[in-house]
Order: sequence, then structure tokens, then C-alpha cells
Amino acid sequence: MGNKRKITSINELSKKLSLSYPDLRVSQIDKVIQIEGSLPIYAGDKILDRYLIKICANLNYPRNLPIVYEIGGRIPKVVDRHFNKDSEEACVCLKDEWYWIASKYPTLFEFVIGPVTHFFTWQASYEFYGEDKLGGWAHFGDGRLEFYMEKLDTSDVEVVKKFLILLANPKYEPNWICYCGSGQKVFKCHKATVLNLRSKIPPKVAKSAYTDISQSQKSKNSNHID
Amino acid sequence: MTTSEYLKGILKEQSLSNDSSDIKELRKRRSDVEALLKDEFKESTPTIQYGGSYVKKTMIKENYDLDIISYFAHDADSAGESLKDIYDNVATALDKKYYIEKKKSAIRLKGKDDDVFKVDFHIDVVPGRYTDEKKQDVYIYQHGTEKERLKTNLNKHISHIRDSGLTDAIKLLKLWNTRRSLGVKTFILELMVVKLLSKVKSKSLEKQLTTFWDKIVDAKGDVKVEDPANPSGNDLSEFNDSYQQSLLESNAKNTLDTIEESGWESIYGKLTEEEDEDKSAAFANIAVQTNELTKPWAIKEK
Repeated sequence: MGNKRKITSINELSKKLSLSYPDLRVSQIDKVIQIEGSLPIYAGDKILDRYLIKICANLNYPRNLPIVYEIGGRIPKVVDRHFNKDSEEACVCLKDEWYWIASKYPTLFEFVIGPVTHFFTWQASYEFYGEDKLGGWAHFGDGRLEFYMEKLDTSDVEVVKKFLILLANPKYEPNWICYCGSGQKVFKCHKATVLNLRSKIPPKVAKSAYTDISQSQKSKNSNHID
Repeated sequence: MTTSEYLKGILKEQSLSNDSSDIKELRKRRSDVEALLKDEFKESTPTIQYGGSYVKKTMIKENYDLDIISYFAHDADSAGESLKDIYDNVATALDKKYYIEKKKSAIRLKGKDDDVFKVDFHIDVVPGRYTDEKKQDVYIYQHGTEKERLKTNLNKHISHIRDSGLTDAIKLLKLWNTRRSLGVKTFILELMVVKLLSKVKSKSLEKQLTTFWDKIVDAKGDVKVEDPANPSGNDLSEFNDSYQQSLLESNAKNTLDTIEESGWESIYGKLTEEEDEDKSAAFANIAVQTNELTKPWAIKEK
């Protein structure tokens, strides 16, 4: 029964993709679903550009962010183009952002037409203009800081860090002192924000965000001193 | 528009003129590689020749390559005693300037500098040694095989494809293979096309393509081809294993069904003749819409 469900979903995925992306091929190798082929970048019904891509997704999607590669050798595999130099993985979106939005992309099909297409649209725009016109997150911890500042509507790094400490805790405690600096307890202050983000972003992701942001801040401070 | 006009339009879109930036860059890189090899191996003075789709006249914009053959004299040992030594020494020399990827017999060149890091330069360097003083046949190193060598002849390969009368069909089938990421080696695909379409050379492109896919389906993807440079000596069957055959067959069938249901545009897309102004307007429109979209990032490298 389990196997029939998996086959059906791969068939469904192939069928859906074939309408807009006839050159993307779906296959399954062990527990990994693979989508490979030419991804068109559309503007209306016209194709602006194409990229050869490969996507590897676990069967537990969307619990884990799929891994995306550009396999045509067109894009430099460097940080400024949002690629990991060694693994050549594309940083399609922020980890934290992924968990924030994953419910909007419940199937792999939505992932392809959503974050993957946005990522390669960015690349096509960059190649066309020679610079970033569409906007990306800052690199590394700074990007994660930007994300949380946006979600918490704050420009205070310490507020973000205090928030992430609350998020990183495995269990919600209503009597925590709120991250915002009001001095009040969370349940009387920003309870909705905390619960909302807790429902989406796993504690380990929040913990790694805290570490990345702290490291970025530390590097900035030591550069400043130098 | 007739199907023939449409397919010619696709070929035109995929063509690379000699004054295009891609070709100019390819030529420049070719000169750089040639200079590097001649400098590194001054004593052996390799013969540098060009192969690949560039010379066979089967280049398409989405998939092109230049082979730079670096062949040493049959009695020249200074580049290396064995074929493997020659291969490794050429790789070491290229590694100084390029990010290299070692393939079975060739060395793929990619960018090493940050602005082009791991960007594919579409160049394969193939080291080898002539079998004798006639300088026709060559031995090249082949990693992973029993003899670790292959006997071949570049000029025979080039003329077999370039003079086949089927270069347009080859280009369109290369495009099909590339877009669907089927993984059929270009060389093998070219040989398949020449073999399967030998009796329909005078027919329309449309007929040639559908004949190819029909024959692939009939053969269940198992099309045996011979190396024109060494028909009895070189076994090419490993390049079309059972997985590849199954992939070819299913995609050929799917393509024929799709053409019947939805037409040729479903396979190769609409013809576009976009000017830069149109593209600029299109990208500007995308920029307005990106507020709600995910944005790319860069993860910390370990």
C-alpha cells in the first residue's frame, strides 16, 4: 500500500510538471525523488532563459529542504551567486525562511514552481544585468539576522538573539520574559509571535540561527577593531 | 508555419555564429590551452588538433564542446612513459590554470578564478600518443578498462559525423537529449543518428526525427553502434547500459505521443526572437512581482 502511494505521487508529479515543464524528468532512486532536466524561466508565456538543474528530495518532503543543483555548468559556484563552493548546492532560500513558508509549498511541484523557479529567475536576471536587481538575503548569519528582524519587526540584534533563545528551547514556557525588552512575561506580551514562529521553525534551526548570527556579529566586531 | 519551417527556426535559434560572444570566448580559451600545453611540453611538442561538435558542425547553443587533442609522437617519452603518465602529466599542467575534471579519457576544463569558479568552459583536452610515425591512429588512455587504452582516429570521427548529411537531425536530437537530461553521450548519440537515419537522409527533418524515435522504441533503446575509428576493437556497449536504454525508450515514446497530442512546440518550445529591450522589460516586470517570493541566500561553508 505504501509503495502504491509513492508511485502515484511520482506519477502525479510527472503529470503536473509535464504541462509547464515538459523537459523535467522525475525518477526515484531509493528514498530520494530526483527531478532533472531543463528548467525554463518564463515571462508570461515566453521563455526568457533555461537552466539545466537537478533536485534531490527526500520522501519526507517538506520536512527537509530539497537539494538543488545547476548541472549545466553556467553559473559560477560561488557565494555571491548563492552557491556552496564545495558541494555546489544552490542556496535556494534561507533555511529559516523555508520552514516559515513550507506550508505554502506542500508538494514538490509547488517547490519547483516556487522557490526553485524564483532562484533561477534571480540567476537569469543577474546574468542579464550583470548585477543583483531582484534582491537576495545577505550571506551567512547576516541573512538570517535580516530574516528575523523582518519577522519581528525590529532592527535590534539583541532582540533577535533573545527571541532565538526562546525558539531554541524544546518546550514553550509562558512565563519566560519576553524577548522584546518590555520586561513582561511572554504570555502577556508577544505570545502570538512566539507561538506562531515556534509552530513553524524547529528548535535546532533556531539554535543554529543564533550561532550563525553570533558568529557574524563577532566577525564584524573584530574587523572593526582591526 | 509548417513543421519544417518551425524546426528550421529552432535550429536557427540554437546556432552560434562565428562572431558570437560564446564562440569568441571558446576560441580565446582554445588559444590559451594550446599555448599552455606547448609551453609545458616543449621537448615533446605535441600535435594540437580540434574535435568535438565545434569541428563536426553539430554545435547547439545549449550544448557545445570543443575537444583539444594533444597527441605526442609514438616514440616521445618526455611527456610520459605510459599513456596513463601522459594523461596525468597533462592533467597536472592544466590544473595550474583550470579547475579540471578527470573523465575516462579526457580532461574537462572549468573556471578556477572566483568570477568563473567551476563554470564549464566546454573544452575537453584529450591526451594521446600516435601509434606510429604516420600520425593517423592514436592510443588514448582509458581509465577503468582492462587494457587502459583505446585506439582511435579523430579524422575518421569528424568526417563520419560532419559528412553524414544528418547534422541538422543530430543538432535537434542533441537538444532533445540535453533538455531532458537523458545523459546519452554526445558521441554515442551522433553514431546512433547516423546509423538509424542512413536510409532517410533525403527525407524531411520531421520524418528523420520521428524515424529516430520510432526506431529507438522498436529497439527498446538498445541500439548497437560501432566506433568508425576502430569498429572491431572498441566496445561502445558500456555507454548504453540497460538503464540508459530504458530511459531512451520511454522518452522516445513519450516524445512521439506528445507530438501527436500537442504538437512539436511541446517538445522544443515556442520560437522566440526576443530583442534585449523585450527581455529588459520582462525582467523589470519580474522585479515588481518579487516581493512575495523567496530570495536566494548563501550558506556558511565548512
